Amino acid sequence: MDDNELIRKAQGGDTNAFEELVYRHDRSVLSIASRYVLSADEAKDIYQEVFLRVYRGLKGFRFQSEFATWLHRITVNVCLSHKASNRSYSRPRQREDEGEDESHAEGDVADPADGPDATALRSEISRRVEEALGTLAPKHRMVFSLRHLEGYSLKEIAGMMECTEGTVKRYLFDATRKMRGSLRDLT
Amino acid sequence: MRHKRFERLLALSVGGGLGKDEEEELSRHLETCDVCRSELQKLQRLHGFTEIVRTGSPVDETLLMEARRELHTLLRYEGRTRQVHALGWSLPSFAAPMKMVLAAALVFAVGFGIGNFGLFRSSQPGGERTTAQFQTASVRTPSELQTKIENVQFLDRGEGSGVVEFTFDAVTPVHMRGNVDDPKVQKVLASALLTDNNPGVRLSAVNALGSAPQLKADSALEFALIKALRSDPNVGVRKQALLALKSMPLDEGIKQAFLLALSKDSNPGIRIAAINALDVAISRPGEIDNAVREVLQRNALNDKNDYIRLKAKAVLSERQ
Repeated sequence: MDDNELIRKAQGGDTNAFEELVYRHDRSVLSIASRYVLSADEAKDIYQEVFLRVYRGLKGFRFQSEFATWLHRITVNVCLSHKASNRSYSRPRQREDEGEDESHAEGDVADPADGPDATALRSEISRRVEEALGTLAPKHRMVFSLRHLEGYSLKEIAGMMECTEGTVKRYLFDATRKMRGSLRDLT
Repeated sequence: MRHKRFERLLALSVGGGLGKDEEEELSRHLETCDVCRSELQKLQRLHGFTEIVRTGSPVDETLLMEARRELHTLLRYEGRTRQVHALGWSLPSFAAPMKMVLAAALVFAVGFGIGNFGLFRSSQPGGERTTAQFQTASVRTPSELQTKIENVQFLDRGEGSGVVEFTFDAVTPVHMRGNVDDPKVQKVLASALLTDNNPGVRLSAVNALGSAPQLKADSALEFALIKALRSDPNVGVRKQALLALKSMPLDEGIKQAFLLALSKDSNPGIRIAAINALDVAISRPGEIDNAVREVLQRNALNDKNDYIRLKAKAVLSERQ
């Protein structure tokens, strides 16, 4: 059964069809949310908000775009509006397993494939990249992570953010420049 | 870097963001410009770092399962509390004004039906009374119509076909009076706690729930209280949610919620309430598992609040 058939059933009140639709697409939603906020709890909040909006709006879905496109557009909107409404954004972005006062190590990071501590280096690089991402403005962060971490094309991102490819390129350029600045010691 | 245009092209080139013409233009420039070649290398390193992040953190399956479970519970609430009815009907030959009149009449009828027989209709046989009593708005004439029709979304405006289709929210005033021990009352209050935009309403709802002598184990109610403790932006709501959870039988979900509040909440009052709740809940030596021990040890060392540091040390030393 394809997405459109599931949508029609869900529009008719079939909750099993709705759940099947959720299970087909929810990995990408959780992935985008996790990249955007990092905290598992916040990612779950975004996930739930997205699918509640989908649930409420599904009756108005007119099959004029792919369901996935519509879903990702909602996901991006929920992520971008999440900051204003959620207190936890005032906290420093950090991994669940890190202490509050832990500071990151400075200095050059070698190619992770070269040394015996490859896992530790990859972990450190990931942490620094995520930390740098956390300093970007919401739209810059969203565009950068959709492009470089999720692998979407500029056209797809423009569709999700309801803007032109030119705007996406501008966000991406600004984000890349800021990321370069934040990770200058690594590059 | 001097070449503004090429700086932009370079930033977009990593990861394949350029068209064919732009790529060729950039390639020609790179053959003659050392500065841009050096910049490209740095950007490629940056891209390499993002590749490490991309390949190193697939979706956490446990998190996905938790999210699905919580969504399932939320949808149950959504289905119970949201009175949304989709209508589709055919009016093959009426003029537009007549269609409007019929539409209004049908909306009126549906609103009346929802108000009287919808969400709160007793499911108990023989008309047996429950502790909660509901009085729905009576609707006699259009001027007294109390069901608000909101969020009307047309799926088909019927232009030319005579068929209209739309969805709407029918919001009906409901008078409810009952004991806070009544599961029906608790479900409505928990739903308000989860969904109402007004913090005053959420606070009143959680205060009412917390006033019950002891809340019985109920997964949906527990979920609403844990979610409020975890993410409500209002500190008063979070505090009352924590106190309400204290009166429920401790399970793993509640324990994790207390631990999360103790380790993550920015408000010291919530963290104090959380450590006190854990102190009461974990009453016997040896009941501290690794997760609790780890959080307490971290708070004993790092919490900015003196009381919490001392309390964490005391709980650790008494219960080891």
